[in-house]
Amino acid sequence: MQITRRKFLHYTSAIAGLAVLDQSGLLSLRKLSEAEAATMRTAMGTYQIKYTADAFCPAECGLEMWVQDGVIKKIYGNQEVPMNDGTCCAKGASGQQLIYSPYRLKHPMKRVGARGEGKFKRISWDEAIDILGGKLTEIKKKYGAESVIMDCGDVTDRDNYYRIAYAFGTPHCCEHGAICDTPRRHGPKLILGGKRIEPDIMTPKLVRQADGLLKKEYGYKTKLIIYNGWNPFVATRIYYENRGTVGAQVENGCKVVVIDPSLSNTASRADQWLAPRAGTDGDLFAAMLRYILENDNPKDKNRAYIDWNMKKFVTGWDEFMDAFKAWWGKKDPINGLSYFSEAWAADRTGLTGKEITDLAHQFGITKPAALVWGMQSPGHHYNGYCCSIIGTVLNIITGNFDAPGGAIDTELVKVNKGGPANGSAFKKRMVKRTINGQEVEAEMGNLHMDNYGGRYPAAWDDSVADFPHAFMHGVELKYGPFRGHKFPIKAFLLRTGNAVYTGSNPAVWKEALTAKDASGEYKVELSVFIDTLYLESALYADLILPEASYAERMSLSDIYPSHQVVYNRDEVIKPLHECKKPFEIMNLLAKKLRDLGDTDIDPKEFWEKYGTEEDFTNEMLSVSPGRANVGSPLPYPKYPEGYTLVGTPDSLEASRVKIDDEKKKVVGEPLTVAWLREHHGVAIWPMSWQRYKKSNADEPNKFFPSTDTKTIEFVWDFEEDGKRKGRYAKYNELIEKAGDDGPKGLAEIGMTKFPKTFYWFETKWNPYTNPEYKKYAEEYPFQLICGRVHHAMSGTQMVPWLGEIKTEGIWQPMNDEFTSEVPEAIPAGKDAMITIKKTFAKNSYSVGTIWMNADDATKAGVKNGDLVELKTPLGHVTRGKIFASGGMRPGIIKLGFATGNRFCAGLGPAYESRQYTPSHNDLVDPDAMSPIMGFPAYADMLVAVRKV
Amino acid sequence: MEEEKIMPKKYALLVDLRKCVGCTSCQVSCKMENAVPLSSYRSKVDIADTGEYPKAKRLFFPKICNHCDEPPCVEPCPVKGATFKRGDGVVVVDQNKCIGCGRCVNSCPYGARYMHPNISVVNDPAKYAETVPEVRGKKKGELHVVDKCDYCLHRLDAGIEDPACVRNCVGRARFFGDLNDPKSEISQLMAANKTSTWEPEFGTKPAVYFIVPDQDVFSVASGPING
Repeated sequence: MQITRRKFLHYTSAIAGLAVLDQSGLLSLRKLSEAEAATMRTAMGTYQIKYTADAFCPAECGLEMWVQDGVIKKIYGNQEVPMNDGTCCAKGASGQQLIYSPYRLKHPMKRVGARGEGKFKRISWDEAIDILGGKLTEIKKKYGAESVIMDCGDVTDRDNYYRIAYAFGTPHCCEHGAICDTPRRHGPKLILGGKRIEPDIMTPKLVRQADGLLKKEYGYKTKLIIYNGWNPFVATRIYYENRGTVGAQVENGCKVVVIDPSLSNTASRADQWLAPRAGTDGDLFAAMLRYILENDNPKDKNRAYIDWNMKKFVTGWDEFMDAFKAWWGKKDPINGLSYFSEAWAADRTGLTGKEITDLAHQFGITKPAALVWGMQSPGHHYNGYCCSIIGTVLNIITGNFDAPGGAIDTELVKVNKGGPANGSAFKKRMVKRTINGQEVEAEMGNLHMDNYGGRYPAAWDDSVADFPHAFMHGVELKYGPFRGHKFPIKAFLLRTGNAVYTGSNPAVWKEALTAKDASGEYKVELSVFIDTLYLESALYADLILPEASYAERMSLSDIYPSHQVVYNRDEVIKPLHECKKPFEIMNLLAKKLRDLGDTDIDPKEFWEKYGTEEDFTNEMLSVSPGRANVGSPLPYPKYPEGYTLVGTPDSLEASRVKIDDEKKKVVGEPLTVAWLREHHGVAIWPMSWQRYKKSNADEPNKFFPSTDTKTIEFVWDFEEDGKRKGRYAKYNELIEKAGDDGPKGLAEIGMTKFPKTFYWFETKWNPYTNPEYKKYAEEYPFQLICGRVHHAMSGTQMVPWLGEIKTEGIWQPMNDEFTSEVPEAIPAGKDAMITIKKTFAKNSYSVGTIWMNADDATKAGVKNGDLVELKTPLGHVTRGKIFASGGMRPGIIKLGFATGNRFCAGLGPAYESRQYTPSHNDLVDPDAMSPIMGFPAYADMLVAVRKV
Repeated sequence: MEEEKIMPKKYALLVDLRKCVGCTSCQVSCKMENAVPLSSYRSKVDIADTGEYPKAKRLFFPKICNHCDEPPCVEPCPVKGATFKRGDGVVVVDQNKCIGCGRCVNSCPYGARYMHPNISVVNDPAKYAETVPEVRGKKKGELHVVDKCDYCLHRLDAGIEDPACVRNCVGRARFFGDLNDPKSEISQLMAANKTSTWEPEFGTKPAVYFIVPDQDVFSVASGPING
């Protein structure tokens, strides 16, 4: 839609003289006739509205899908779900182009060529389940069930798969979180038992009023938000941060600071954009903490940074601060400056000292405020743990943690769901293994390859990026009762993930999945791909199972709100093609395994227990909301403080409950799918703040947060009342019992055990902070970072409406002309989409691009649209077209995550551009796995640029 | 056709660019709602990167038909009633009358109209062959009707005063309503804030309003967009 002056002038001159159009009599003022209006009302009335959620994306917004004759015709946000409050993003609104995509997997297939060749043959579900059940049974007999990995990639609807895998006997069930951003979540987990600290800007919130009634509250209290490496306008997992951030700015005068080497969309709307060097987020936070500690003065209103009352709620304050301050006396070898000082941070981050101290001062003095960090900062750096720990501490000591308008750890306050359905109880089943001639019997969960292996035992979310190592070398348990037990990985079941393409560097995954043993068989004997979409990992599978799309199955969503909310993801339409729901696949496999003689599979735990997926979902809801009655205003003043709440909002409100004083539980009527359907798909329980504090006294309530002491813990391995406590304590106990040198990850940073409190180490491939990498700076002058393109994500680039969008400098209309089959919307008729073959003109369709600073581009002799090659010191290369702008710190290059070199035809248009789109993953150092949890250091790399 | 005696409503759209997060939901929600074909748009967000580091900025400009009070697209139309402005302010195309000559597309300086490749003309162009050379010698199936934003007329006419782009707007930046009702949200926002329109110098009296924190957005939107 461009201005076209010339043609307009041609026509306006032609009609000159008819100066006042609306008096010329030529205008037709018309309204719909009554008959036409009636027809319209009838048409609108034939839609059936289904409440579901958008599992097309990790934000899982509540949606209304309008269905006509079994076809999804309209998609809007569900107005009763507070995370999106009726809104719906571009991706959500484009759902029809995924659901009705020609690129979907339509029927089961088995491999007929070599792995990687992508040659498959259509088979029946019977044959597919025969192959799957038969091979799993064989592997279990020969190697033990622990030789099987169930990787549920996508977080949603994993419970059916976890249940069958745990029942089968393997503890290796994992999901997307393992390769998302674990270092970013580490600080909140250690200190609070939480995960994601977000600003208190979700509206509306349901709040108990002084008159005892519940009311939806709108409006904002937040005065300052600092987003470090967090770009909620693009990576929209915490979706309310879109309208909440701009809403707080416009309606409450909230200042927004975005810290990011690139001008992200969020940065473009911020009051201040600070662009540090990559991988220095923790440096900035450490300098902020030091500044606040050194300059705090409770008597000076302009220096009263620290809320000293917070000490009452913190265990280990002094130990943490002593360990932190101990670094001040040391000089950093990279610059000879005192750690965490203003000058030190300025030297490392490339920001000015004043920018750093101003930020610290503003954060200290402005209340309520929230300091937020994201996957693009600590999440993807080798040392991101240090950053997320300091960030958590900064929110707490300034009194912003769980304050109205402050920073909420959303993991701690979201609804509890799942209950017994995911089958984790099967991990308690006793199993026997013979180790060095000795029979050992212990709980099956002790066979876990990460938690009891010698590499990354604190990998709470598993270390998916380390799987290729296990595929190649097998597993040896180093800790726990099965210490010394060795087993190979023989089956890799991947469901709605794309680990081959995104789980570290694809080269190592391809190598591991095609490696053969001495007899010429694949080391990993069974590779299975289960998904709605046909992605790169499928090319390395022996068996492909088509899963129902998110609109064709049922489950629950509850993505990171400020208080407990859960909503039904209802089945909107029946599964298309030959696709099956996770629930059906679980029961089919369970029956097959049982038929093949596996007595670990009990019919009463599967098909006899769950006749429908609604039964399964109801069991998941049986524990909801499952959170304590804490905070101010107390959610339910009529129930004892601290008691766990279970049941529907209306039964809790109307006192239709049983109070169990022994278990400290208030149990109302169970929440069910049927209840949700009658309530716009959603259940919402009341909001409260300062949930760590007694509602009527200034002391800890000892119910919140989710740590050993139920207080905020700044120490992670300590003794209290003769008991060892803290998040790292159990790992250290295992290490001590084993008496070895400690896990592989810790050894990389010179540790043998997990630290008791504050720790610091440097990131990799950063010549500005780690002396080891200084030598690469000249030849490889650019730091490489990556960022999410929400619309494009990893596996949804076959959706053409999303190709018509551009995002920052990493998703731009720079395509060569191409022809592709695409779904095209149909204006009238039964279907929503038909498949057409369409040619897209050059530069009309977005593809992954290489974003760099405009001056850097000029110096390198490249301009917008030029094809270049990026090369790392490890020799890895990728190609793409340049997008040069002023919105990038010099010396930085940014790529989209999973936006290039899409080598599977199932990506449709994105596959057509694979020769000239950059793959960030191809440049990742596969050996740079962050030491605490074995997470890929996606954003630690250097590159050189060469025009090709 | 029924002539309006009174104008009970005057629909308009206000976009608060302070709240636009650049997500393009309006663009895609429109495509979803109205089955807009690929490569064509009733509603489109233009995004421009301008300025030098570190003063760079990115401007989002959601474009849509201006529903001008003096729409330049109406006069050039050779078929009476094929394109017109309703009494409630909505500029619409009657696709049963449109013969696909394309004059209105060319006469709109904002590029708000396009020829719909998937909807053929139903009004026989032969009747207009003499006066409209653009359709001379062409058959119904060869010609395609014009399409444009109509504020989701099918929703409006069913009593849903909430176009899809407004309904789904992620930043809550879009406000649609009746300017003749002083209590409507849009009227109150218009009264409380300075608003602008896009390129009013064309003299068409655009009726889509913007709250604009950065006036550069208009000049950028009118020029060639980078990328």
